[in-house]
Amino acid sequence: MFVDLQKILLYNLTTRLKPQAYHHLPLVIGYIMNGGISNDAQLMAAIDYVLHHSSNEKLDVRGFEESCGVGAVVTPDELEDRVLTYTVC
Amino acid sequence: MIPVHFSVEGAKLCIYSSELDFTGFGVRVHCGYGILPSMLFEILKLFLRFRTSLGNTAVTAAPPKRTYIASGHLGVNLSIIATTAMDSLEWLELSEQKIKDTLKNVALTKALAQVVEFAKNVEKNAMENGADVTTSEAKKQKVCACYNDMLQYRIRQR
Repeated sequence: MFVDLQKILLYNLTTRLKPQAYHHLPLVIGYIMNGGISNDAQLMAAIDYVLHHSSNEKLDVRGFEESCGVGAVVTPDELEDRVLTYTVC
Repeated sequence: MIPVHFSVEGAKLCIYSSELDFTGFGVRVHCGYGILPSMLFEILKLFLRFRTSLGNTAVTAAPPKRTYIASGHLGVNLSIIATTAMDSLEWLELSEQKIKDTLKNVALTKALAQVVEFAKNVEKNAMENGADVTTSEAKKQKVCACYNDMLQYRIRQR
């Protein structure tokens, strides 16, 4: 089942990705569908990566995953803790 | 001038007209909801091909309100676009205004149709494989829950 967030990400992907990188579209869609890319920041990073490597026939999947933080989940608590560490310092 | 009406029924494009006279050279096309201007050229080609093959015999009978002229399987690309252009926009749950605006941009509409088609295929394959569905579904829900929490957190902070 699709969730609304995925639909929003798919729409944003289509509107933001340039035609020269369309051949990498299936890869990004795959990550959106399996939840690897789950927010707009990750999507933007993914699009940037894909655009920078649009001349490549195949993408370095590992590099792609690292650059857009596939699978990285930051909970609100973790975020708050990290921010507090900086504000305390 | 020949008023022509189209309807897409599954993978078939059906062409109708209420006019008897098909001997004219001009063809006027009513662009129905969901038919993109970019499709018209392909539709016209299809129409003219069928008109040539059927001649005028197909329309000599007393015309009902909508005289069936021809139907045919479209090429893969056009078929995908024709059947999914509107569906995909609706499936994306875009607002009515957004759909209207998007339809004006033919390239974007085509791209969206292809993206949605691909996404549905990915989902279908995942469902068929079965094994990963529960885990990926759980993962999605978890990720979405986290994202929603994060959004709520940001809203609270503001």
